[in-house]
Amino acid sequence: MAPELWAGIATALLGLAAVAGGLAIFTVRGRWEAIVIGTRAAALAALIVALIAAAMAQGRWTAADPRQSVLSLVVAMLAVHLLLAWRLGAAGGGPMIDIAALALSLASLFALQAGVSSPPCGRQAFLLQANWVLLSLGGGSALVAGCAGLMLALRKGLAWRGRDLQRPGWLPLVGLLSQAAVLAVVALGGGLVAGAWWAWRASGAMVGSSAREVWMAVAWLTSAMSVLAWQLDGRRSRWAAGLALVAAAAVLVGLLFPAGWSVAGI
Amino acid sequence: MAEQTGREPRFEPLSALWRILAATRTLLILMGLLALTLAAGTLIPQMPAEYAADPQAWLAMQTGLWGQASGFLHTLGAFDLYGSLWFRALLVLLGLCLFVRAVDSIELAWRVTRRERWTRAALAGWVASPPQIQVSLPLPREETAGRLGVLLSERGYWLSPVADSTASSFVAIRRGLAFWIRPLAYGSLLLALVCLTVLSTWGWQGEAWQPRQGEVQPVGHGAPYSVRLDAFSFVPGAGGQPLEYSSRVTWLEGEDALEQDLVEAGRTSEHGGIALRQVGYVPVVRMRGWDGDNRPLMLETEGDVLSMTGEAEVRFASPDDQPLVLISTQDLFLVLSFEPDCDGQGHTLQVSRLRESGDDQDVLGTLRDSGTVSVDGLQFELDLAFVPILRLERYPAAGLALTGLALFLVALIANWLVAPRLVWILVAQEHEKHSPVRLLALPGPGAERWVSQLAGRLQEEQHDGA
Repeated sequence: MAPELWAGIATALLGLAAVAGGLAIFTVRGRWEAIVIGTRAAALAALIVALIAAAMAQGRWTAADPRQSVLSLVVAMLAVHLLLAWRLGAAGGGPMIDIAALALSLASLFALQAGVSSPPCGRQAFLLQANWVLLSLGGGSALVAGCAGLMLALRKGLAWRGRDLQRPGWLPLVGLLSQAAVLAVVALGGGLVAGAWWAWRASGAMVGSSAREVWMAVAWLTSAMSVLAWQLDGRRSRWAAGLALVAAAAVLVGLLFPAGWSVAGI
Repeated sequence: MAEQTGREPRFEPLSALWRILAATRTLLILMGLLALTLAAGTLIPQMPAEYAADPQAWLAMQTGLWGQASGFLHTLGAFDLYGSLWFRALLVLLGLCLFVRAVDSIELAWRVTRRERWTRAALAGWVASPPQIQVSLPLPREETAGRLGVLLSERGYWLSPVADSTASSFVAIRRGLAFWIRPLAYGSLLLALVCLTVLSTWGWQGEAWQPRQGEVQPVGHGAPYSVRLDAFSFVPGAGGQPLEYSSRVTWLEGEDALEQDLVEAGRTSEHGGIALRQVGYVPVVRMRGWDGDNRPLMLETEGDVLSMTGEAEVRFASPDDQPLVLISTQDLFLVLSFEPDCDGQGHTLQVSRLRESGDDQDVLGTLRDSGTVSVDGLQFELDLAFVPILRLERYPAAGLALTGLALFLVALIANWLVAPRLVWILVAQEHEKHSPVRLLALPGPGAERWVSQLAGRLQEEQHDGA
């Protein structure tokens, strides 16, 4: 059960979903929306298998492994998107989410495996696991919000060209953007608090965390700004979309830094 | 809405300041600056605390861009971002913003809870352009307002007419008690911010201390106390479970024992506002060596402590540490590595010989607690023991800071799940047997969506009723 194989299958399925999403926009006759949702769900299943395989290859599920980090993020992203799209009636929500997930699952194929280090086994407490799960969930939600924001911007561009296109609806996209941003604020905040609590118990320090954790804090702040932007006097959706994009970028920058633990002793 | 008196409104600086601090834009700018500072903190090297007394020494070590512009950047506080004056000013402003917003949201929640009569002036305070939608219903104005009221009441809304309105207008509120979540969220975040500021200003943390039994450590920082380790008990757990280990300590003032206490993982010992925390343990190896003629070998550890008696103590600085032992007379390097108990098989101590190339090692033996290894006719006896890692700290309000953050998250989740609703409905004069209805929602995430859904449902039901 090689993780590369399953990540490859997921990449192919996401490519199919992106193409089907594009065809749905350009009003090519066909049941594209059903194909998009079906292939997206199948890609999610394949990515979950790839994540389990990657965890088995390493002996445990750890955020220190770049491949597992990227796979966890893309799994969370697709799961959050499917859940919110179903709840809000946003259907496909445009191909942007598939393109982003495709890029990330491709990145997981080429993610470096070297230098994997975890905190000592005695220190892998529940709080640390909660920190990883919540940061992945929050990062995935921030990416969904960013994709919805980008789709909102493109939607305007598509309208400007004056072509007869089947664009995703404004209200479902706005709903997806705001709900995903709120979920990102809650999950990233929960992850950061769990991480701070763990660090306090492990080394007696709440500060001096890894650069990845700091970038997740940046993503949390910008997601909170995106939520707050809905209280502005005007151009609310533009500001919320722009800030959601910044938050998504912060999550991706955070992935470039290795996960670190300020642990003293064993 | 200000009352028209014909006179120029007098400028009130405090009111203006309040309005500035209450503005969403202000909070957004401050949060953006905070996010930028955090991001910059990961890209610009930050000066370690031990160089605070002599920053020039640290600046001299900087190379590249940071070295060239070190003077200018140091003046800006870029190398100590979180300790700089402007960062503290930013936190103070953020705290003021949160305070003002908490007060404003308490006012709104209080008005909703007391079911006070709304006025146009109070509603105009929301924003200049709230999320709104206009629908047209095929009924006369008064009948439309009445039917809307009945439909909204059926949906769980509580209605209140707007006092000084010329149009037929009322406010509809649903899940009114949930409006208290917003002040709770702002208040708990403010609490966390204040506590974190207190913590970073008056808090301190001592160096990691790895004591042997009977060792004494002065607290420092002007405190007259010291602390002594009386005993360290170590019980290895089974099946990779967290290990049990605890330290019995005594707080001292001069020679006088003040208090005895037990320190465990997650349980601190506190005296006079100072806490002693056990943050881990490290292995310590006592090592002896003999040559082929049974003469003691001189062992050198990384601390350059030359062993004259043929015995050395090797301490692991961290779990991943691989301390070296040099037997210079034999030109031999030994490497020690420790593997904690992760699979219930027990911890192990591995002794290896470093090859001349320096890259590879030959494993000489793997020991459990004590044992002997041999190499090239030399014999080494090793005894494994453990010492705790203790830390003295003074973190006032740290628990309260974490509680504040946790409360904030609970408030966010509650607000997301319960989602209180407030909508101002204006029914205008009918035109061609249709009455235009405007619905204005309290701004917030998802307000556009639910107000348009509400308008759609009302229109649908009105049409069905008509």
